[in-house]
Amino acid sequence: MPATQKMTSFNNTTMTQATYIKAYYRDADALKRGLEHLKANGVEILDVLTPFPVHGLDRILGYRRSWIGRVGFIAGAVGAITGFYFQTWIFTKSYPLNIGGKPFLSVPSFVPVTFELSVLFAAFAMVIAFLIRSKLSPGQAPIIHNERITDDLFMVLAGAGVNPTEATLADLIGFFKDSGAEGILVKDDLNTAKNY
Amino acid sequence: MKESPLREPLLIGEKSYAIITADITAPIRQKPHKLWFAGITLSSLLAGIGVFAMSLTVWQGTGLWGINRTIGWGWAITNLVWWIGIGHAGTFISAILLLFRQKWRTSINRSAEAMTIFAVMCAGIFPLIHMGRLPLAHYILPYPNTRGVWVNFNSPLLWDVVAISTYLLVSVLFWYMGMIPDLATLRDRVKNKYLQPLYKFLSLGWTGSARHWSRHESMSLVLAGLAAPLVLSVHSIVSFDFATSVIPGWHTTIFPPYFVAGAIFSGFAMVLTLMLIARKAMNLEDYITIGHVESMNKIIIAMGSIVGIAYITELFMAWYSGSIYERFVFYNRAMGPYAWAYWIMMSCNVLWPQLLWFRRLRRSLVFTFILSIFINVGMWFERFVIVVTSLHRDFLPSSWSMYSPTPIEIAIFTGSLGIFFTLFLLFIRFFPVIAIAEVKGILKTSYAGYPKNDQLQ
Amino acid sequence: MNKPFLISAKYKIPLLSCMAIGLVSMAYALFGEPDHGVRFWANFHLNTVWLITIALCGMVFIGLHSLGKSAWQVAIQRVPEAMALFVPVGAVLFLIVLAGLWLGWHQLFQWAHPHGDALLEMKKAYLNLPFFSIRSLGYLGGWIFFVLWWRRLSLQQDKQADVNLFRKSEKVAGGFMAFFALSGSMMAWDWLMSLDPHWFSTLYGWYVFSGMLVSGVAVLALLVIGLRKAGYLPGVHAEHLHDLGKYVFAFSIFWTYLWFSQYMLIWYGNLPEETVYFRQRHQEFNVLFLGTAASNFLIPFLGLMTRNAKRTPWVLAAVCGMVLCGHWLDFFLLIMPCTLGGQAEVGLIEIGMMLGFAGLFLWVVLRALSKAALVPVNHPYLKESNAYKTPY
Repeated sequence: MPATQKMTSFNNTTMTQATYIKAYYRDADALKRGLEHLKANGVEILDVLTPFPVHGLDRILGYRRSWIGRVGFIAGAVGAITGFYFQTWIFTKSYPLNIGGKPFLSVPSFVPVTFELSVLFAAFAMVIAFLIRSKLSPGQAPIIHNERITDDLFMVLAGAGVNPTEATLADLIGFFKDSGAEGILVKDDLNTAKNY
Repeated sequence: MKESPLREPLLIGEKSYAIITADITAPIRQKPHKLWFAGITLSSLLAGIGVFAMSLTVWQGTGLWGINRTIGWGWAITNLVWWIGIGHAGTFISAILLLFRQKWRTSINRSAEAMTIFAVMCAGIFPLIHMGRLPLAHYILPYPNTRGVWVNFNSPLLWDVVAISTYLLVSVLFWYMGMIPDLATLRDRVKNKYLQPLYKFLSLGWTGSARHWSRHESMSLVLAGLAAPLVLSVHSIVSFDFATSVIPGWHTTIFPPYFVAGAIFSGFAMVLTLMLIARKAMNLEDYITIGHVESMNKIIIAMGSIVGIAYITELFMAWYSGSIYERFVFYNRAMGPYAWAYWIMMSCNVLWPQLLWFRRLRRSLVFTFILSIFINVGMWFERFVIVVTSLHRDFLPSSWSMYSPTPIEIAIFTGSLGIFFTLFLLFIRFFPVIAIAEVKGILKTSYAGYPKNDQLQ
Repeated sequence: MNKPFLISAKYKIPLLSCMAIGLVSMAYALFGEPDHGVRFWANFHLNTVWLITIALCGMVFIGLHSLGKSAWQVAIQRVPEAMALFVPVGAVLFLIVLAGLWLGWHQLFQWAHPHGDALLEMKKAYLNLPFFSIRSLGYLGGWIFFVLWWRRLSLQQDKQADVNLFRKSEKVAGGFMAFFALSGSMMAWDWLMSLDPHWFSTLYGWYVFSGMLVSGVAVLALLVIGLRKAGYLPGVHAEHLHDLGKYVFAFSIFWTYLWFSQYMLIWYGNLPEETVYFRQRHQEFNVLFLGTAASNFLIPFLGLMTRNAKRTPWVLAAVCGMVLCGHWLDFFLLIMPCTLGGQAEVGLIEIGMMLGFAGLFLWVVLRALSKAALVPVNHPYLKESNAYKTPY
C-alpha cells in the first residue's frame, strides 16, 4: 500500500502525516543513556531539548564541532587589517600630522586601536553568525513543547516517519520505554496526540 | 564527573533543577521587598542630584570644579579610573575564570557582568563631561568630516575611547548572549502580562535545542578567549593615559599590568560588597556560599599582593632610577601634603587585605564586608594619589598648588554611585541574578546532596 | 601501571655528549678567545639564570595549581617537581658566578667597580657586593628551602595517604608563592637588570617572569610528551596536553603584552635615559631583537590556536621547542648587549654552552624523576586528574 493512502495509527483519516515522538527524561545522565540506546536502535532523532548544556551530547548525536571559532578568527583578522590600514592611511596619506615629533607611521601607537578593532569585529561576527546559524532572532515564536524544558525536563524529539504502521510505532515506543523515558507522547501533523 | 570528597560543595540546602529555577526566579515573580523600594528611591534621588550637577557643569563649564591650571585632572579622572576598574571584575569572572574552569564562578558571574556594564557606563560619564563642550563630543570619533581633520591616533586618550567602547559593547554582548537561555526560562515561568512578552522578545526564540547549546558553548568559549585579553587591554590603555606622558610618578612601565591587577582587585571588592548584601536580601545563601566568599577573598589577597608589590616596585625604582624628580614625587606622595591619601591607599590596599591569610577571616562575612568597603575606598584613593599628587607639585615650584573638590564634583560622584545602584537594583528586579542554566550544570558535581537527587530517575 | 622511570643508556649517551660539548665549548671560550673570558662568563651567567628560572617555573606551576585547588595537573605533577629540583644545582652554578664576582674573574657587573660614575655611586647603597651576595643567597636559600620541603611532603604522601600532609603541602605552596612574588622580581633586577646598571624599568621583573612562565611550561610540555612517548605516564592523555598547550599559548600572549607595554611606553616617553636600552638593541641586534619578539608571539599564537594543534603531541612539541629557543634568544638579548655589546653573536660557543647546560639540567631532572614514583599515587585529586576531560 502506498504511504499516502496508509492509515495513521490512531485515527482513520487518510492523509500524509509525519508522526513524531516526544520523550521526556528527568535527568541529564538518564538522557544520555537513553540517547545511546535510541541511537543503537537506529531511531531518527530530530532534536534534543535540555534546560542546560549537557556535555557529551555532541558526541552521542554525532554533531560536528562548531565552526564559529573560525568565523571569529577571520573577522578578527579583518578587524586587525582594517584598524591598522585605516590608521596608516589617515596618518600617511589622508592628513599627515606631526604629533610630538612622532613618525607619521608610528606602529606602536597603532597597536592598541588595531587590537581593539580585531576583538570588536571577532566578537560581533561570532554572535551574528551564531544567531543566523541557529535561526534565533528577536520576537520569534518558537514551538514550546513543554514549559518545563527550560526548567527541569529533557526532551528528545524523534521522527517516526510518515504514516507509520502500528507495528513500527509499537517498536519505536518500545525503544523509548527501554531507554528510560518517563513520558512518551506520539504526535502527528494534525495535532492528534497520544500518551504512552 | 565526580569530584574528590575534599572539595567543598558549591550548592547547599535542598536542591533540584526545579528548585534552582524557582529560587532564582523568585525575586522576579514576587512583589519586591520594601527595602528594594527604599533602596531605589535613595539611589535615584542621588542620581537625580548627580544629573543636575552634571547639567550645571555642561552648562557653565568645568570652572565649577576645583581643578586648576596645575591640577587639570581632579576627581573626574579619579572617578573614571575607579569605575573602569570596578568594571573589570565581571569580565574577569565570566571570561578568565571560565577559561580556568572555576566552577564557583557560575553563582556570581551574571551579576558581576551586570555590574561591569553599569560601572563602565558610569565611567563613561566623566571624560564626556570633562570635555567641557558636550555637544562636540562626537569629535572624538574618527569619521570623515568637513573639517578635513581626523582624530589623533597617537593619543592614548583616543585609544581609550576605542578601548572603552569596545569593552562596553563586547561586555554587553557577552552578558546578553549568556542570559538568553535564562530569559527563555523566565518566558516560560513569568506570567505577568507585561513582562512575559518582554522576555519572549529578548529570549530570541530559545528552545534549548542541543545544537543551539553546542554552538552557544563554542561561542561563549571563544568570546571568553577574546574577552580575557580585552580585559587586560582596557585597563592597560587607561594606564597609558598616564604612562605615556613624562610626568614623574606617571611615566613608569609597570603601569599596565599593575593597573589591571588593581582593577580586578577593586572590581572583586565591589562584587563582594554587592553580593554579600544580595545573598542576604534575596535569600541566595545556598548559591553564594561561604565557600564562594572564600574563593573571592583568595582572588582579593592575590590581587592585593600584586598591587602591593607594584607599589613597592615603584617606590624602589624611583630611588633606584637616580632621577631626582622621580625621587621627589614619591617622597612627596608619602610625606607631602597628600600623605594622608597615600597612607589610606597603602593601608586599605596592601596592609588590611593581608589579614586574609587567615582562613577564619576569609570565611567571615562581617570581616569580608568591612574589608571590601575598605578596598573600595582604598582603590579610589589610589587613583586620587596617582592623579593629584603627581600633578600638584610639578617641575616649576611657583605653580605648585593644592586641589580640593567643590560640592558640584562631590555631587557628580555620588550621582554616579546613584546611577550605578539604580541600574543594579533594576537589574536584580527584572533579570536573573544568577546564571540559572550554568548553576544547573554544576549540580551533579558540586552539590552536597547530590546522591539523593540521583535516585529521582 | 605506573612503572618507575629509569635513565637508560638511550638517554645517558646523548646527555653525556651534550655535557661534553658544553665542556669543550667552555674550555674554548676560556682559553681560545682573546677576550679574557668575557664571552665565557656572559654565557655561563646566561645559561645559569635561564635554567634557574625554568626550574623555578616548575615550583611556581605546582604552587599556583596547589593554591588554586586544581586537579588536572596531578597526573603530571612529578615532572614540574623534578624540574624544581634543579634549583639547588643552579644555585651552585650561580655561586660560581658570585665567587667570580668577588675574586675578580669577570667584570659582568659594572656596578661592582663604580670608578666615580655618579649614578652608580648614587645606587651604591643597593648595588654593592656584600648586599648583592646576601640577597642572592637569600633568594637561592629560600627557593631551595621551599622546593625541598615540598618534595619531602610529596614523597611522604606516597607512603601514607594522609590528608593532613596534603593540607600542609598546600601551605608550603602558599609560602613559596608569597616568597617568590617578591624574590622573583628582585632576582630579575639583581641578576639581569643590574647588568646595565644605569638603566631601569619598573616592569622588568614581571617581564622576566612572563618569559619564564613560557619557557618553563614549554619545557614541562616537552618532558611530558617525551615521557609519554617512552611509555611512561599512562594516566596522561590528550586532555592534559591540551591544557599545557593552552598555557603556552596564553603565556606567550601575556609575554607579548608585557614586551609591548615596556617597549611602547619607553618609545612614547622618549626619555634618553630609558630609550638607551632599546636603542642599543635596535642598532646592534635589530633583526634578532624584532624577530624574536615577533616569533615568540606568532609561532605559539598561530601554531597553537586550534584545539587539534594543542592535542597533537608532535605539533605541541614542535611549537614548544621553537618557543623555548625564542625565549633563550630573549635571554640572550637581555644579557649580551650589556656584557659583550655589539660583538655578541649566537656562535658555536653559545650553542655549545647552551647544550652543555641543557644536558646538565635534563640529567638532574631525569635523575629526580627516577628517584620517585612518576605519579603521586596518594594525591587526593589523582582520580579527578586521570578521569579529567576538558569540557572545552
